[in-house]
Amino acid sequence: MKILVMLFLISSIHAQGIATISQIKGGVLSGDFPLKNGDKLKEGDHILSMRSSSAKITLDDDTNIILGEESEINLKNHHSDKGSKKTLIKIIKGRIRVSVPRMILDHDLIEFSTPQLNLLVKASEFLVSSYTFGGSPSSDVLLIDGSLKITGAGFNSFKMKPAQYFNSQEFMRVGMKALKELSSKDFKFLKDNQLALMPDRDESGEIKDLNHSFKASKILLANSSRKSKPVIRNVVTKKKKSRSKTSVKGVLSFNYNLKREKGDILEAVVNRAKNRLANKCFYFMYLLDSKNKRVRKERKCDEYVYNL
Amino acid sequence: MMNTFTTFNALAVILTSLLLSCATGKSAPTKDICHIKKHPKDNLFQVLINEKPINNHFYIHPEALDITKRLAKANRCMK
Repeated sequence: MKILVMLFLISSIHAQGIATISQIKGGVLSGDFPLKNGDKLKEGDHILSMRSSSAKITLDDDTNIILGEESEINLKNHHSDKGSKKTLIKIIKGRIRVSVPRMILDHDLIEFSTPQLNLLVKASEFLVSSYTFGGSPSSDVLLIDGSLKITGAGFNSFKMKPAQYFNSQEFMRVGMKALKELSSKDFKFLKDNQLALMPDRDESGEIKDLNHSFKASKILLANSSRKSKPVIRNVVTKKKKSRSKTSVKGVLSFNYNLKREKGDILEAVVNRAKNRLANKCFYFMYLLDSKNKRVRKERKCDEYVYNL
Repeated sequence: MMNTFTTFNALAVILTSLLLSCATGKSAPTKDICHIKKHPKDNLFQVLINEKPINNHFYIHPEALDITKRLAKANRCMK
């Protein structure tokens, strides 16, 4: 009986939130569900930001993660294990800025991973951008403050110093020569602008014209004191410029509010482009029972004929 | 014999003209109208032709719009 109670308590602790999301701009999802400011996040949650969207995620140990637009992370692990803290965040794609303010003990493990790299973190602040270049995963890492140890398949681990940055693909080719240093002017800009994210690289591989890059990235977080609802960018259905050119009647344009949409409809809307590439289309039906339940069925897009 | 030959010829002419008319004639552009109608509660849409649903399926809006375009292309409703 005591064992059952202990198991229940342990599972309850694990089910509690490990992080809070705030300063949401635009559409940010956990799995299929849109998030709002103040929502608690759990271990294992998969967070995705849409275009022109961003958010701040604060872990219960005050680690801050600024999530840029069209970015995706997984809060894979964050718990205590025999007195040691273990945190593993997977950066699937996009740009993030991480600030780990607390002192990390030797037996603690805080790790951020991209498809190519593992970043072992001590108290530090750094930027990561994870994307695909030339069909292969590529990561840019820039250390602002503290200490960062980089490991990955195919190379010896190394430590970064503040103001240093590198690209993973370049590192695979030329090794430590890929580790470069940001100019003092640009480095100061990054330190002073705590919401700034990794800028784009130019063709030479350098990070140049940082101010322009940040402005072009449109890094803005929602003003948390604003009482009005944030504007959700319409992700589907472009409005026709001239309605008189079509004979179709009825609802010709529609804006989905991602925050209010339901699971199966939301997923179909958000992932429409991706699903079509996989030849996956959906239709919905309402059952003729007392509850008029809605079901979603999948069909191949190219199987659509008049019967649809 | 003469009557049989004449009847046979007449049938041949009729059949040939029927076949030719099917082969060369294009069907006239339809005047039927496609309609996108919203479900009363959910943000899903049904496609109708002349106010009659094409089926009992509902779609997200971009899919419904895409279907009307395909129906128009297939001359099922006006473009």
